[in-house]
Amino acid sequence: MKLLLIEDEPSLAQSIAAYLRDDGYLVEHCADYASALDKIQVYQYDCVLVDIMLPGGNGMDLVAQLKKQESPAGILIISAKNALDDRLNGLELGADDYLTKPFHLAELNARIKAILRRRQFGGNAEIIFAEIKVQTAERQVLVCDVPIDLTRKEYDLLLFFLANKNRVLTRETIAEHLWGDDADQMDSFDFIYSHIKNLRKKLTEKGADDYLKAVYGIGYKFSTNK
Amino acid sequence: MKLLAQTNQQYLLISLVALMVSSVALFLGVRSLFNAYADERLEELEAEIVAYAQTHDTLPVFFQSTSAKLLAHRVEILPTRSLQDTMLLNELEQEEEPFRQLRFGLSVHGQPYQVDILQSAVETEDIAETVLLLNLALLAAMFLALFWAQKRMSAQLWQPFYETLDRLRGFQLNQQDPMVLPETNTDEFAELNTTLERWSEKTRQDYRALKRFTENASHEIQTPLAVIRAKLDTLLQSEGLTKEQLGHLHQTQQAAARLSRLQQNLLLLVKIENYQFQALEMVDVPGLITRKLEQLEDFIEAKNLRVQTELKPLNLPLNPFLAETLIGNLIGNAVKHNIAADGWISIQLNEKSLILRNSGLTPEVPPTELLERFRRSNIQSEGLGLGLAIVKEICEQYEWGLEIGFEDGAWETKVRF
Repeated sequence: MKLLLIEDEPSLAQSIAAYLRDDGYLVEHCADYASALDKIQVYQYDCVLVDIMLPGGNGMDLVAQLKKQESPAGILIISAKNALDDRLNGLELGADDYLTKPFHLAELNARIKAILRRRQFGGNAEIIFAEIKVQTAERQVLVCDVPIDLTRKEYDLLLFFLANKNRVLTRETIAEHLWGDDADQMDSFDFIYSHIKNLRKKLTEKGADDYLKAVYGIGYKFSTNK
Repeated sequence: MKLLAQTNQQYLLISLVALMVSSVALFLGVRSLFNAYADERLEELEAEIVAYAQTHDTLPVFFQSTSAKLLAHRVEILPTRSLQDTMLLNELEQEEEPFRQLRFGLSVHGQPYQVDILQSAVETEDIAETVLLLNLALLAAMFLALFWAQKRMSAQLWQPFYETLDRLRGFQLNQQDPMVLPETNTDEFAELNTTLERWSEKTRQDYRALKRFTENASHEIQTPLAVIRAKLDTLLQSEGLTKEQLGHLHQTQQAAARLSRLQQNLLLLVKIENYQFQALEMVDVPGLITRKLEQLEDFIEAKNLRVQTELKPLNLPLNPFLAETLIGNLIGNAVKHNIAADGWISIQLNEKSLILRNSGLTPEVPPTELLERFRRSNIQSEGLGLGLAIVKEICEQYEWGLEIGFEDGAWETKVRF
């Protein structure tokens, strides 16, 4: 999987690239409009992450350019501007998703995976990890080929963990992923614990290993190491 | 008080003084003129009487009438000559009447006589009074005419001023085009208009600069925050961190998240204050409330809250984002600041108001103070203290009333449309 990261802030770009490379992506990076334009005109990418405010130009124009050349690449806009207009414009231009800075790397990772799944399998993707199989079209989860019944939040939670295996996900990161801005309204994250507990129970009941590990009271980790 | 009324008041005062002064002067003037005239007549008579006395060595036969009298009596000493006003009884009308009197001494046959010639001054007084009345009437008529003319004229003269006022009222900081004021021939108004046009252009520019600044500041602040959060995320993934180190990282991450929420909310407040949410749509308010409750279902269930709603259909022309923020903040607060056991929320909506009630802890500060920025009901509260400030700002934008109170263990928030 080849990604192009267009981001002018070097230290942010470095962290993003490192996080994504750990997941096995091939990440190319450019820091300004001109070089980004060169790259998207010459190379093919599976997904392009584009910042809106760039030295030498506007990221929106890059989105337009990608659409003009009918690129199959998924497009994720990452911007510090939370302006409603920008969000709508970006999505209207054909971007797949819009993420406002600051964001969690785990969130970015999950969004990229969702875009890639939609782009490449037309929504019919299957995520398979050991004895766990997720059929994303039907939002169906199978453990050892036996379907299990998950609530919407439990399903989202599982997908988020599968997208960020072996990463420490803090309670806040999880809450933000599941409830978005509404998570801000809530001062207690204790009830995430009950969602995790239920998910773990449903998975292990049908014979899956217990992959969900608590991390010192700050969050959880989907650990593949026994 | 209107400018016209004020000038009229001043004018009336000055006119009254002028009226009094001029009337008195006129009265005195007319009277002294007539007196002089009467005196001349009296002196002519005196001369005739003296001449008659010298020729005939006797006093003439005195003719008496109501308008003129000649009186003579013998006296011991000749009186000094004098001219004066006096009153005499008119026997016919039984009235005191004013007379002009000339008194002089005359020797006839070696006998001293005091002679009084009296000339009635009734006419003089009458004329003076008539002149006075005429003067009063004239001045009053003039005042009325002026008053009327001024009223008519001022409507016309002030027309450009009222037009300017009208345009000024319609002026909005974020309007696309500069404010254009009508042309006028009046120098003062032309000057006013030029100044106002320059001023409005300046504020429009300042406003645009401020808007750009807030947007840019947001970008500039969010970027380092994004770096901080990304680095913390990366650090969290490091191998072999101790529990203590993870704790520090977690707390730093929480603080960074809080900082970014604060920044976003402050930016939102600034944007609302600057009227940057203008686009209106018909918003289905009960639908919005129901949707918000669904979104918060997990939180409501986690706290085991009983929710009771009584929503009448209501569509209002609102900015969708502001409407969502308002409802989201109010319901979010009701969920967040609820009690752990046996909590409840009730929402009532009709065409006049939205009333939210919820069980909650007794606040440590007066409820109305919570509408201020950075005010929290409890010191331990993790909230930013901006939620209600944002609600207040939105209500102000739509000119809605906002009341918040706490009674019998329940919060009540009321929005009057």
